[in-house]
Amino acid sequence: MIDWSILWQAPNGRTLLEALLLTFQIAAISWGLSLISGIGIGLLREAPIAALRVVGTVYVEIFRNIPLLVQLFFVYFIFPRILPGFAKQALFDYGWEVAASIITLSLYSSAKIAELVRSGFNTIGAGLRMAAASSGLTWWQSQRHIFLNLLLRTITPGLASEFVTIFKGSSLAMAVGVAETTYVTRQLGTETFQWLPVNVYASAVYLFCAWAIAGVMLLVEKRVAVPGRIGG
Amino acid sequence: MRKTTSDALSADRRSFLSAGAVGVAALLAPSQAKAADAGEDTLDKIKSSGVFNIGVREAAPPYGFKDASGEYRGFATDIGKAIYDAVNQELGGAIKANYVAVTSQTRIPLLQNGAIDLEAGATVMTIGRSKVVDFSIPHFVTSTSLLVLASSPIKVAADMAGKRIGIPQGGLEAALFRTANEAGTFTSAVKTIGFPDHSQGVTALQTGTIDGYSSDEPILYDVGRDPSQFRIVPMKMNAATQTLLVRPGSSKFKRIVDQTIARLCGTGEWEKLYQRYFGEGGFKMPLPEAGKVLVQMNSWPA
Repeated sequence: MIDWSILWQAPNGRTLLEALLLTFQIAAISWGLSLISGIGIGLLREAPIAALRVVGTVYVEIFRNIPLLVQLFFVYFIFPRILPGFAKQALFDYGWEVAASIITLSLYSSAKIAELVRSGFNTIGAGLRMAAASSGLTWWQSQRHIFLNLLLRTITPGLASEFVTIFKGSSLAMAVGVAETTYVTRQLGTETFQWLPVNVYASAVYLFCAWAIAGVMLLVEKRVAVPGRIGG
Repeated sequence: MRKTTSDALSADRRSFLSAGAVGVAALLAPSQAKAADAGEDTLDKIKSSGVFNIGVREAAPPYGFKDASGEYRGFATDIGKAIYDAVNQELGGAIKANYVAVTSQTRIPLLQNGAIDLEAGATVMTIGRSKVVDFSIPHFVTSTSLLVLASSPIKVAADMAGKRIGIPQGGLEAALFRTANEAGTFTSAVKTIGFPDHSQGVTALQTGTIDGYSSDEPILYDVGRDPSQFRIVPMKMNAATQTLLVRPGSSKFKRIVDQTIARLCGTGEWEKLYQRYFGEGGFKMPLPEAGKVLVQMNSWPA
């Protein structure tokens, strides 16, 4: 007997809505953190000091090459052991499961965004670099005013697909018990045995949201496209 | 230049919108699907196919697990084997047994689409679940307990108030704590965290990420065998009767399942199985009073 009403019956409707908000919360905070740190790490790899480039490379290789789930368990189980008591309590009060998921998603995605930034640098021709240098701009000034501006516009499609990946990746938080959309729908499935409605609901939510994100990014892409390049 | 841009944009937009439409259609397709053999009694299906597909648990000891030699064993698996013997006898002895590993996520879809004819695991009876499948008479009864570290300040169930308690994902513990929190059973609400498997819950307990791990009592006896490390706190909050799952509309088949369980209880076989997996042969959990009552209730006279 397929019973769709389990999706909105009390308390399920409210639980699913809270789970969706939690999914958005994890994805949105992870986006912000990984975009900022990804650009930072990407810049490190182009830095004029060799030691900084090494730091950037090590960061990318560590966090890009360890599977997300393994990283999540590492952060979740190990962090509380090395933190002092008061910090541990503060994290537990905020919700250690959610925090660990955000930290892990941000570490992983920032490494991938850093790679995107590096590939963006490669699209900047030697001519432009020399022009920037010969006009007397410092390293930081030329990054800030010329290169970053250009390369962020170039890598927008890559960032869009990374954003969608982070959104879907938030479902991994269920492995440490975060009651986000995937977790709650699976729980509802095992409690009620109504697997068809809950699976259709979960797929629809992820499909629709990821699709909407891709749509917004498509508009952004058109708006910021560098004139004279493909798609511009 | 300007024109090309807007053309490209509208082409992108078109393909983008149609992608969404196809996705929605794909999602709605399965809701039209019907169970493969709705209406056919499982006994007739087994007779015509010559195969009895038994859904068993692969990693849920002591109810169902794969032993070192790769054979499916366990308390519920062995009951499933007894049911196979009874079905095979009923149908003249030419039926093949096929064991299919199921999880708490796959058991219902597989039963519905006919991939398994019986689920022999540790499924708790609830009214909500009874709307979807048919239950055999109960083959086991258990209750939810709490595992804590030996040094834990939690001595009785009430001490869980305001604590972080791990539970298994996909179990009924979440609903138990939700109801208790809403009813104000604890002086401050218990926070539950669901883990994908018991070993992760125990790891979280050992690393201090949670204050206790709550699950089915026999499972806690199993994972918390070391008394120098762990202690079990009885919660006395529920009784969970466990059942085997049968496809609805299979009264001929269900009759054999029920009769087999009743026969096992009446002949003392049930207690032998209990001792093998839970008692002397397992982790030395004494047979609870509720278990003795279950056996008495299931011991139908011939």
